[in-house]
Amino acid sequence: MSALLEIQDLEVHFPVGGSWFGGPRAVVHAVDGVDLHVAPGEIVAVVGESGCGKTTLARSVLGLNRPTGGMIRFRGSNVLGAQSAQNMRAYRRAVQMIFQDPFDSLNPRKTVLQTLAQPLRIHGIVPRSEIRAEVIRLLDLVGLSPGESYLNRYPHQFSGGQRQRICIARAIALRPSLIVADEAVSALDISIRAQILALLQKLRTDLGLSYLFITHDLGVVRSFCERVVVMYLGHVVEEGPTEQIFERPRHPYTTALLEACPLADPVLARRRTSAPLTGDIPSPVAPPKACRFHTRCPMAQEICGTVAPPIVDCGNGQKSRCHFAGDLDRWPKFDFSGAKASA
Amino acid sequence: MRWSIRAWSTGKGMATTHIPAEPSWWRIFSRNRGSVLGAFILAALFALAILAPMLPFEAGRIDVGPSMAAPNLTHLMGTDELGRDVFSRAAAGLSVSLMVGLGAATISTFLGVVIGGLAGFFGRSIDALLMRLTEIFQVIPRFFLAVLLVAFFGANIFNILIAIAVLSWPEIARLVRGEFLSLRSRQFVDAARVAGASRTSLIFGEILPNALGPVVVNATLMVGQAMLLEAGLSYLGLGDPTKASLGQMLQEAQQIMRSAWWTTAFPGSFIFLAVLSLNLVGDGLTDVLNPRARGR
Amino acid sequence: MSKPLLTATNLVTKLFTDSGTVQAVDGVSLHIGHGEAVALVGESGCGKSMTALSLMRLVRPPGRIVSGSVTFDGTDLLALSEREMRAVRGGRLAMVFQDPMTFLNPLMRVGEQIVEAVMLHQRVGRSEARRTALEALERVGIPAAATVIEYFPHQLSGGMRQRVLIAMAISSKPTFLIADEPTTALDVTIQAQIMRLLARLRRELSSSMLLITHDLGLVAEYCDRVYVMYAGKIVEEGDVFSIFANPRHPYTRALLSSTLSPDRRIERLTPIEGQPPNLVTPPSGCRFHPRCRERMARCSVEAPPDFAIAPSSSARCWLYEEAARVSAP
Repeated sequence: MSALLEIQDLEVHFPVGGSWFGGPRAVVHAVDGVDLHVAPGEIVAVVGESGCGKTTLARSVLGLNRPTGGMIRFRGSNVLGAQSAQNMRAYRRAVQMIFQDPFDSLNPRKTVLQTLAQPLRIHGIVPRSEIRAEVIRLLDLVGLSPGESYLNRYPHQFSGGQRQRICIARAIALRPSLIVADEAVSALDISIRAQILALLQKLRTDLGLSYLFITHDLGVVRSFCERVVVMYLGHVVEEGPTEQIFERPRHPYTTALLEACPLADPVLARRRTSAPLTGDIPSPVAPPKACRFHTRCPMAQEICGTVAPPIVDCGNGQKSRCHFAGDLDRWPKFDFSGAKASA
Repeated sequence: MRWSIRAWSTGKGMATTHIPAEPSWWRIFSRNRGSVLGAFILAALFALAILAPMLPFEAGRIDVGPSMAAPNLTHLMGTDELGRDVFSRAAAGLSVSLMVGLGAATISTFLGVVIGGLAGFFGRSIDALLMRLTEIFQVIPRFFLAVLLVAFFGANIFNILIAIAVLSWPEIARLVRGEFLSLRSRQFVDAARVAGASRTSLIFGEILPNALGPVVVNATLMVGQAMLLEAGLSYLGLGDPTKASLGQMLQEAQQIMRSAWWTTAFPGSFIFLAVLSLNLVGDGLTDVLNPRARGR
Repeated sequence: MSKPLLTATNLVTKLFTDSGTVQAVDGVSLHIGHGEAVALVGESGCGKSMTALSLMRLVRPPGRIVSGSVTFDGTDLLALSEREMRAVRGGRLAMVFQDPMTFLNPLMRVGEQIVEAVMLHQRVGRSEARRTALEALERVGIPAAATVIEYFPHQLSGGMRQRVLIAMAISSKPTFLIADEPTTALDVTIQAQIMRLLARLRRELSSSMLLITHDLGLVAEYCDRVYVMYAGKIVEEGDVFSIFANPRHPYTRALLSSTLSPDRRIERLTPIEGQPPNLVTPPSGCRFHPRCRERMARCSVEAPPDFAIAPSSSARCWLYEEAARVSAP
């Protein structure tokens, strides 16, 4: 089965600083050689902390920044580089985005109707006369009924959950195949978060969507996403099927994330014995040499600072970028209480 | 992985639970009593300026009444040393001053929006270039340059208007540039881009409407500033001799100021009221135009 | 049971806005004992932050504490003058807020800010205060504290800034710490570091903590007792284990079942329907009734009182009227 979205060796570097007269500039290695793919109908999570590059990656997929290297293919065709206007239009119709802040992603001076009509008009999805009816239909699909009462209102008149629904309506307006959701539920309350995730799940089934789900919340990942890609400082450090990764992670950073994330179970949470990761996340301007995680890694050895780790295939779709990923003894079944022995 | 079907539908019935009533522009504006006062004064001044030709006495006509008469029932604001009715002159002068003020503010706002918008949207080298240009204009003392321009190109009302406009645009350009710089990285602009909006559509449809709030307020204040600048120029004798503005009246009345207070007090009050009311209205507009954009 | 360190009784705080009066904190009573870590949990708009501000008398217009009492270590805080309150606040009663940048003066070196706080609360000279500040920075695990003490806030990462805030808070050896969403803006691994640090410091200082949060995971791991808040009222109180294992109030139950935790995969989620209520015109009777799956006719008419089911365990729900009657002597 061919992948819907295929990212190969993607590199996105940004220059920072530097004077007008071309003084020396620093380079942010936001995304540094990332491989990723999304199959039709899949929900793939991209997790990581600040500076890992997940948002930059998302923006590259949507053409909001210019990668400095690598390839992005959608349905087999290249998406990067000079594209004809027609190709870009077709791509925009197929790939859409939901942003993190539902308030910031709606133009405060446009009504709901104006905001939702915009993509419909630009791409001529429906004839002009039917735009209003189509907008109402979209609002209904995302649970905002009756649609008519929402049309002439402004974003500031809605709650966070409602705004996010409007954003989802905008994203599905063009009938895309892939939606990139960048922390789409992080800014919402717990109860609203659950509503929105349920909506997204229903839309996947009804509209045949795939999602690239950027998040830092491992709880959401476990219940909502089928595959996980873990990023750290511009690299993919581990990826694989969700249950597999949670049961037996094969990278110390993944383990650290699992050990650090809050658990809504007091008995389990209090049994945790492992110490949290020390130190701050290094800056993507000057990432550590060889294995980028070695400066904070509890199992780092000399080789980690000198030789870049290879990508080890751990079987069943799980891959890890660690020198010791293949050494099964180091990776017992993961227990949230931290009862396992760490190297 | 099955999710409760009921879950997604919890959006139903949320429609009218608590969407607050949207207060109208006037309601927000009228919260500030100063602004309402300012609006009324401004409206009255505009009415006076428009109706100036209909006043009983012709504006510049000499000897329509006794010379140096104090305010009385025939001449509500008295007459000057040439027997001209102060009231009709002041009204005509008001219309000249307002015209210069509005004209200069409009032109400088337009220039400022274009230059600031281009600088803010495109950034980098275009921004650097345009900002250096802006700085050049900002560094030169305004009044001095106005005097030079007028002395060089001749003192007619049109030149004065252009001179003032040319000196006022940098302020607006900076403002607009700042707004554009912050707006262009907002998520809704990205969202429009992702939806397929063209660059033009992004500038005019997404960013500009959100950037104009502070600009409108500033432009209102600028009308007052332009009027003062024009009055100053006229007072120095650089005004247009054919079109008597309020500043001109002040200049001419210098000699007789002590014996005929009405020849300076009334024109001066008109300037004062116009600028004050413009400032008050601008103040009220800030409230109207901003919270809707920023309110949560 | 020993006397609690901090007690709030029937605290009422309202916000007098143009669009109406918001009943932000509507009769909240809570108590925290010595050395206890208590959580105040709820979603946005439930009034938990306003409760924290009220406890510290930091409520600004259009908000105002209308009635109720707050007793800290035997002193009635609401009766103190502002000057006296300033001596308490930041001294024995310390606080850590969510966004360090709104708390730290961007134009002042971080060391200087701590020194200021120390000099204010401990009446010591500058050199002594500097020593205390350095010690506090070391205690919160800032590496090279002697160098960092001269830094400006913008030169530090988010986690470091939060540590500085904590250093400021503990420099006066507080007996009580209020932490309002202290780690929400931080990355997960940094969050774990900060929470562990807070737990360690609490142990060392034997101080109590009131943790205001919406993150049930943090509550589960770091708190002994929990107050659940909804629409300005406390709807449930209990010790952490029983709240998670056996939640009583329908809101607590719904909240827990909507929570996605990494230790389990949820196949069928049942989100709470509807939206949080408008606090200007809250629903009649029980404020949760429009969204409650177990509502009865009575719930829309009469607001239930807080029923005590066991010591330090209560639920504001008509379902527990019987249970309360039975357990009462």
